[in-house]
Amino acid sequence: MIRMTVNGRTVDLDAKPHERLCDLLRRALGLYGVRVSCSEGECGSCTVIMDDEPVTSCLVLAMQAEGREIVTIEGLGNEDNLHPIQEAFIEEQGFQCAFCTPGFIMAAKAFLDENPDPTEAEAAMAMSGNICRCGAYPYIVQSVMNAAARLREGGSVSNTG
Amino acid sequence: MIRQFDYLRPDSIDAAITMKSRHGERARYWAGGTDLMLQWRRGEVMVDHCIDLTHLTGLDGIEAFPGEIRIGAMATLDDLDRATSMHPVMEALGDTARLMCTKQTRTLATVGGNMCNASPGADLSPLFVALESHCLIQGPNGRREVSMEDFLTGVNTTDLGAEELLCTIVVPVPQARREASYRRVARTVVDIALVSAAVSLTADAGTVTDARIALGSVAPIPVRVTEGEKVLAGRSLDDIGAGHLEEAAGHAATVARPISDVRAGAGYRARMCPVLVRRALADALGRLGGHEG
Amino acid sequence: MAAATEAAGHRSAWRVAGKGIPVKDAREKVTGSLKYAVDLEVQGMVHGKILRSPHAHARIISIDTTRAEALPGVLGVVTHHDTPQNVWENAWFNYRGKILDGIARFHGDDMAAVAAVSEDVAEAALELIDVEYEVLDAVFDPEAAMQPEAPQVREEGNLRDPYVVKWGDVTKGAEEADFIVETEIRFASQQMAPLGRNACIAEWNGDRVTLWTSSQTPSELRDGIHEAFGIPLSRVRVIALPSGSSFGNWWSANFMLITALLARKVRKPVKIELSNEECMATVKRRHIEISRGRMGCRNDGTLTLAEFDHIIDNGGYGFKDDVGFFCVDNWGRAEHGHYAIHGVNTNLLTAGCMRAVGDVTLGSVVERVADMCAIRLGMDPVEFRLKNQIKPGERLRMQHSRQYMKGSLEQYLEGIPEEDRQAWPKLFHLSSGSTDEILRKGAEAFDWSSKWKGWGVPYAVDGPRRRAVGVGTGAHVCGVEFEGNVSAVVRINPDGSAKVHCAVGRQGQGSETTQAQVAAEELGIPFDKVEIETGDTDSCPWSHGSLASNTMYRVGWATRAAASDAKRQLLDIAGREFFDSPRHELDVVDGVICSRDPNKRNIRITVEEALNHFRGTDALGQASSITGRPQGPMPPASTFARHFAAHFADVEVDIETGEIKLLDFLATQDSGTIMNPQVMKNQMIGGAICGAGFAIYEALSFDDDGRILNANLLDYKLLRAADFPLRGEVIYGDSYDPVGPFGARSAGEAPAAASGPAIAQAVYNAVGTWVDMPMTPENVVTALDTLH
Repeated sequence: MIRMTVNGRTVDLDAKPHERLCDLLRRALGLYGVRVSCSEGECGSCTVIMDDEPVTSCLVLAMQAEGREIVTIEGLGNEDNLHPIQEAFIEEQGFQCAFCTPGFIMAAKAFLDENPDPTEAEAAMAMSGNICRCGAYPYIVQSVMNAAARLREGGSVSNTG
Repeated sequence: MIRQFDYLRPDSIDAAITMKSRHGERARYWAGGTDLMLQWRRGEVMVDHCIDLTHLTGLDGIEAFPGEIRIGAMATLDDLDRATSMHPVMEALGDTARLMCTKQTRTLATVGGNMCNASPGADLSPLFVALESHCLIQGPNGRREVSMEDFLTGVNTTDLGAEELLCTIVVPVPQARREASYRRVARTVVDIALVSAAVSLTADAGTVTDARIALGSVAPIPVRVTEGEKVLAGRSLDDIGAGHLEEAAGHAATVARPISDVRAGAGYRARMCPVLVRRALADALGRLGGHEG
Repeated sequence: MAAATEAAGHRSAWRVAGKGIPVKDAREKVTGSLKYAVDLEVQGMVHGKILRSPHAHARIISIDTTRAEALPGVLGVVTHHDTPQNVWENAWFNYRGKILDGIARFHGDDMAAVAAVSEDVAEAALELIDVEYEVLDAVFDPEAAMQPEAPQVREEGNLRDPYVVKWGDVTKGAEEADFIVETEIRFASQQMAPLGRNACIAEWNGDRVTLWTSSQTPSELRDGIHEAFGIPLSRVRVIALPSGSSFGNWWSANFMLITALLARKVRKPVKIELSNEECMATVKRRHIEISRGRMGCRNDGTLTLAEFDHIIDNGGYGFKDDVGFFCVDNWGRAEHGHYAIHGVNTNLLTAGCMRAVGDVTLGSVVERVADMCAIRLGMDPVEFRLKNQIKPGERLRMQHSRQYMKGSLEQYLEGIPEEDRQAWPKLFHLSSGSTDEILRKGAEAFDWSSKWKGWGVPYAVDGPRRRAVGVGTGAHVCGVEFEGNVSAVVRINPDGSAKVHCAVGRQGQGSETTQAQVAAEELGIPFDKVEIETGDTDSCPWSHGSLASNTMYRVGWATRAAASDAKRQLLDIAGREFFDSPRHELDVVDGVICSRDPNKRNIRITVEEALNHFRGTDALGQASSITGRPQGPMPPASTFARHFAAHFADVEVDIETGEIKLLDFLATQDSGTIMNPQVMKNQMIGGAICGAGFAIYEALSFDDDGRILNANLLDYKLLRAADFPLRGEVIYGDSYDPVGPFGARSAGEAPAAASGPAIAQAVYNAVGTWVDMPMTPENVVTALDTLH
């Protein structure tokens, strides 16, 4: 049994020694928003936040996460109560198939926590740790800029157009 | 075969070394694991015991000492990126770290892991070589030092003994001004270098006292361009002209021994060496106040 | 057809069509709650893994599964010995073969499969299957495979009959030309690199099978299961789930059929989940294509001749003889033309339709040769396109549909009811849209006239860096009817809500939203009361699915026709029961039935009231729900409808290293009415990025044994956010289609075809020579050598 904090709750989980964090989160906690695609740290779909830093959870052993604080997309907001970043992604339509979207949103969260007032170029570089095969990039960057503005205004979720 | 391993978590360097001694060849030190995880999953590396170093303390600092900066082997690439203000050479290291992989991987990947993986395409190794860095190693029989040039011995091989652990990478920072630059050709904004060049130039009282040039991705290990270094060493900054950079860079083509692979052809790699060396030299020279920068 | 008489001016009255409504599943998408096939589980399911061939071409001499079956946790193994030997086909000849037949036709081909209690056990069991192969000679080069003495990949032979489109007389075309230019280009293969992977779950109940998988083509997959297993269509149910990015990868795939085979063998639900490497190395890819072609031109800039010979490699199981190459139409003003396409099998991974198939490749060759003409003339490439590209009403050169018509065109038309025929556009002529308007609007918005400095002339030089602009165009079809016509069902429920049933894909192109918009607009029912089922073949009538840019044009037509039929029934009831009026005097606005008759203005009946009128009070009354469906066939779209893109690129090339940076990019598009601009802009830019990736980096690399070396995202390079300009602006043409729903046509493929040529031309203008795709740093430097 290992103990960690996932989305604000302390959980004891029965992880296999060689299990990846992404697999544990999906298998043991049903957190299917942790998406696994390339399994080699390239696409960023499985991005979660571990101790305030974004990580590709396909490269992390579950055991390495013991004692850490993990936040997944499910910890950010839900369909009835969206996080401002999620609102922004909807407003700018920063996705198509959206398989990659939770990863982008978690990367955006970690980025905006560190840089609340980025330039477009900084946002584009920050979003380059993830791949959107559908190619929504300009709108993903607009979503991040939109989210930054919302968060600076105190997390307002109003539709600012 | 079902791939699995036992997980071990040492609480000290000594304990890690003892575990490695006990479990032998298929016990692996696991740092950031960003390379090892993939190699293990692909079946390229066999692991019976994972000795996880991520919970160890004291190996992840980046600290300035008189005449040198010590980078703990467990410092992440992201830590390197955050340490750029410590010294101009750290700026080059931080810039390089940002090129290497995604933010999500920089958070995990360690400097020591990157060196121990010893990929011919590694971005940091030519820069560490150009910065005349050395490694502090600990093993069952105590501690030792080895230069980065000697630490890297081949494709995915190093000078480390079976049970030894790379603890620290030491980057000297001389009294005189030293500037470094790393240039590479890559495809997308996140990529492995197709070919790269790292330089460091040290200047005292307007004269280049030390020049180091190393090429990456053109041989199993970083290649020094010693003939090129000689062109610049001892020359006054004001004297160095475009011709000298061209001449120094020209020597790069003769020492590169690249291969062709899925990323680029040998001919292209060889051809880029002088271009990148010239540009990297111009960067460093410019920061030192030379004309051709 | 009512739409034919609608003017574009009606757009302002629309309440739902043309609006940038967030997609229906937006909240699910941003919270990660949307489920793809990889996320799905069913009770009692076990896991399957596929044994893959280590040879590119081999025959199984013996296969012994004893050791595998003895492994604890293994439930069963299937080989070609337990496989029905029926041939199944994927849509549009993208796959033709048996599920397993003991022959490997490419490295990684499916040879057997194991079901076990876990993926780990199944994988371990694969290593315990003992196979003895007879290794056969293999052929990898498409041109070598065309030779009669080449190893034969298939029993039908390697070479398909050439597919030829011709008009006029090429000899005359050459004579009429003042000059002729020609070129030859060989394309590497692009991989869909489907982020999101895929999985399939199959479960048999008695002799009925249900499949859950991510697919763009639920109906076609159902048909494939029916063919392979020889069971009636009524016993097959496919429930297609949303997929990750697909680009044509997730139609029907053999692994889905293997899942069904395994599930039947072990009598339990089985899930096969593909790894990323399997997705990239064992399903599908774009063809390797080789083009040779020439164009003749007069000194006034009029093209007289277009003559192209094009080879496509189908890999192991593709069976295409043509690619949809609508560049032929776009550049079809030349009086004389001859295009020949040769499909050929090789021992490489199966190739098939990837986004804008043919138009990404042959299209960029035609654009290149046309540009070479313009270079000879010193003519602006925008002007040259305006002069030589098709306009509405002009003749289409592609004659696909003619092959499939019964008898001659006249005989075909005689079979169509007079009133339908009257309403149809003229067949084999372009019904609406072209590149004309968008080229003009785009050039203005891009400030083309000041950045264009002439052929091979950069607008800025900074040391080794050269900056220049380029323009490219692309066209593609709006669905094809060859494999069956589309249908849809729209049901109005007793509470006044409505449900659309249409078989399309949900690979991110927003079909669940745009189809619902079509239905809501037609019905007059608020958008949020219209829901949609796109994947269940038990409730959705047959449709080709989301391929060949079929969704908005053809399925959208069917959805609108079904909604119109449902509304007709509703208004008949309302007219009789409440208004004492014929239905043409009535309309539905925001879910309320009202009359145009001034004397009946005060009667307002909600849809809910109308349908509940019969409940309880009149048990013998009409049904309490209304089901609408199209009352006639959709006209053959491929004979008159196309969609068009024009892209503008601004690039910087480092002539020492060969690196290309995209500085600015503008996409323009003519797709008729834009049903949803929020959905559309992503389709446009996403298509541009797909084409740009192919133009610069994307290429599968094969070793000498036909094995893919870069079936991973480390070395198969996909563009990232900072690699593509952030402009994101898209400019639309104002055309209005006479057939498509509310004037809309299709959208998603032409953009993938237009961006590569725009970038290639910009690179030419920067460095003064053409660079073949992919324009990697190395290939740029090599091309520059030819200048010296």
